[in-house]
Amino acid sequence: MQAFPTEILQHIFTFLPVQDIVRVRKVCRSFQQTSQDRHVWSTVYKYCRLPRLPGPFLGHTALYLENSLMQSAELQRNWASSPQVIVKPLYTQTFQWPLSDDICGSLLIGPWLIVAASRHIICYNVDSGNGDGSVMYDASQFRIYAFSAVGAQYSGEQHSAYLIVQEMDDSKRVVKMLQLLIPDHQSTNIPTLEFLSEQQVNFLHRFGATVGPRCFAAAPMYLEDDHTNVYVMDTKHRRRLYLPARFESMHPVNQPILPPGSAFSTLLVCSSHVLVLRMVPRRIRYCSSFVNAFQLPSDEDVEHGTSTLQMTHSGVFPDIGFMDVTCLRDSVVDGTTGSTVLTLIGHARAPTYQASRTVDIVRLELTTDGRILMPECRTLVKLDYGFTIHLQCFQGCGRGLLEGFMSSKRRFAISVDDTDQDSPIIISNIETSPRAQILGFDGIGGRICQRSRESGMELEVVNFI
Amino acid sequence: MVLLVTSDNVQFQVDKEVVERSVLIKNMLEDVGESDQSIPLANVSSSVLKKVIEYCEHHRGEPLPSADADQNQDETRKRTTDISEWDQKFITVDQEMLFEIILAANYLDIKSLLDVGCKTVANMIKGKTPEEIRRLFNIVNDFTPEEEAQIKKENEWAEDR
Repeated sequence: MQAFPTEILQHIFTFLPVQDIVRVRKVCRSFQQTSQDRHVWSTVYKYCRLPRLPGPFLGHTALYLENSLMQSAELQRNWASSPQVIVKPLYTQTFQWPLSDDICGSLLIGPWLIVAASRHIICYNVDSGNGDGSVMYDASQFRIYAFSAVGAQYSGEQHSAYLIVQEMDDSKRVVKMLQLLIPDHQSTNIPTLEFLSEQQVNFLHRFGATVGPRCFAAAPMYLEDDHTNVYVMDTKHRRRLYLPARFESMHPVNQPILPPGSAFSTLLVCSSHVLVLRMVPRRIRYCSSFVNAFQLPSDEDVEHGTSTLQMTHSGVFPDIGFMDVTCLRDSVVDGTTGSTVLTLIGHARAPTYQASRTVDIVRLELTTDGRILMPECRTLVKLDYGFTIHLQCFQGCGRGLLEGFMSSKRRFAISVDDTDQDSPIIISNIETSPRAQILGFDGIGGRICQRSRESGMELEVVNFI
Repeated sequence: MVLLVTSDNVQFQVDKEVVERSVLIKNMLEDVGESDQSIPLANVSSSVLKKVIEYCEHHRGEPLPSADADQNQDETRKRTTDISEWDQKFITVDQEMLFEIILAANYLDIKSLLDVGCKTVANMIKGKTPEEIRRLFNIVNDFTPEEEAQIKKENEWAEDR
């Protein structure tokens, strides 16, 4: 076999799983050389069935391709519970966008597609077959600057989604929190929009926001000073709740004061607590997260006028930088200790990051006295340049989607389903238009809303279920 | 009919359609045009050519991966190391013959047969330790102890996967 011409050995190697190509380099010199051959790795990269980054490109060395594929194999080994499938769209619906102004955000929830433009929020019923939208909100003299939809809350009979709208005119900058009341599926009524709160702000931020079973919370993602304006809204009592006054003084004593703009905050709302996670890059190549837990007042206390959250935990996770975190599962009470386990799927920065980010599944434990323990953190996928991710979860239903470009033709999606302990992850390749911009994802309905860059002013809802 | 002569001077009369699965022979025939000249195959012995012809006879009439080579390759690659039942049976031969078939397929340029042979070898390698592979294929470990230690160190992280 050692007498085989190089090209035959190369050809044989291209049929091996990536782990084997690496393993066999210990056999002999000719095997070692072949296992480092760029032709072998680029062929394997091109044809293997692992989820992977775009490539192979001319600039990719054999070593790059090898490392990249080893990561893919690891991802597959750890998480792929079923053979990879390419999910093809069943049908696509097209909606005309009636306005000339740009779209600044959208939300897909059940049959409803909610789209915000610079002055309007427009609602479409995807199932009606009628391509016309209804204007739900008219900002008239203001300009909608940013729009974040924070997802749905299913409490009893009423389904709601929460929206954050930032508006500005020359003198005033306002953050509005809106509730979208969603009629049940049989009803033909369009959702109604109600104001919850309006706050004047100095700065215009990108907002991070999450919704939990009892409340929803929003905060600017970058902090301009030591104050974190965290807006927590009790949705049952429609009342704003406040964090303790001097939130900034709650850094662990030995931590340096954060330079303005340095922290990246994300929020997490669970049934009993609001978690504020702030990632702080320290010493250039190292980052950590400050984590504060605030206990929500009981229903009774809110009715009696309490509007302050109590801080129960303040600490640092030294080796993880939480960026976007969503809660996959909440309130799994451990029978022996009575504690709550939260399963999060988070987009985090590795402790020593070099342009790489990871998406992790983190299990946080909230003890009965409100302290946070981090018992488990598993890396789901490592991301590289060119990846955009899209995380969306539904309270209590434990599903999420990560989205990124896998190649020019496909998008790479991981749908995370934590409700089934045996097979928590399904990796799939979703076929959508390669150049389209994904605006929203509805995990339950299996829909994706996208705007194709070619057509500009058309919205497409791609149905997978 | 085309007349093939093997390295051990055995003559084979084969249908043109069958023998043209070999890109090498196909090109040769195109070059020399219609003639009764025999084609000498200095690198192929009669026992191996017999097998190769058996393979080509069975796959007679199947489309050749030529014009749309890329697409075809996509197809075979997708199935990774799956080999069809007949091919599987066909390739169940001793190691020496397997290697001879691979070399012949490479020389005669019969892409699908080369793939079958290489997939078979890949299947034999899969999941085995380096020592098992050396024993299986009679490969001499030509690393110095220092080199071996170095490779081991570099690839520690790939162990147990």
